[in-house]
Amino acid sequence: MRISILVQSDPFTTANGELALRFAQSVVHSNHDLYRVFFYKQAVSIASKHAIAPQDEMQLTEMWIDLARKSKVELIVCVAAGQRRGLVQTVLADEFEIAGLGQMVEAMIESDRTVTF
Amino acid sequence: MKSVLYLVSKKASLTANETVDMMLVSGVFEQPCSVVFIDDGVYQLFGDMMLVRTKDTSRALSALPTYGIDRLYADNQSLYERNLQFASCHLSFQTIDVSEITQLFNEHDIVVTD
Repeated sequence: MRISILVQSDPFTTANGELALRFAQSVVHSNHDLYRVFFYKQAVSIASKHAIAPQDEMQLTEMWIDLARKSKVELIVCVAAGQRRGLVQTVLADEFEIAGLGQMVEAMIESDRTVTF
Repeated sequence: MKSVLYLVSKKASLTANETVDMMLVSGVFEQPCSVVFIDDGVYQLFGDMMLVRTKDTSRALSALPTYGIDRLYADNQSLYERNLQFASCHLSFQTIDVSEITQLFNEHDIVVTD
């Protein structure tokens, strides 16, 4: 099954950033096709290379990067949501790409399931 | 084409505007869409009640029919609990109850929350 994920919750004030990552890892390990992960609204802050979590906390950005390298899944950050929050190409972490909302709608159309966090 | 149900449950804000942006892009892609306003989301139908410009989504919402999104619904119970009158709203929407919202969940392929 082809699955896409929309992540839009603030990773610092909700557990949804971690839940989205765990779900994405499960999709990959279950041999489903993880088509695209789209970061929107406050969730775009996950894609900043300057955001470093304390050592005793989950390194969400690093874990997303690791998943992308192993599974080749696209990690897309919304350009408008990113710019609004100061997240531009120069501060983007490895493996993340900036694109428009059309990429999310296209993912919805191309995937069998879309899951929102 | 996968159909989408947007479920709006929060008051107007900058992030609420981002949800409307996604609806508009769905419209551009001619994706079949419905929008349900529930809980505090129903406030968005009544415009700039706080006179705070950045919190107003009603202008963007009024553009939805232009993009082919004309199925707007509001939860009857949420309107009643907040004493919001259907007549004082300038946007065109249909009031529905919980059982009809459940039916909409079943009719759409994807549900996007705000």
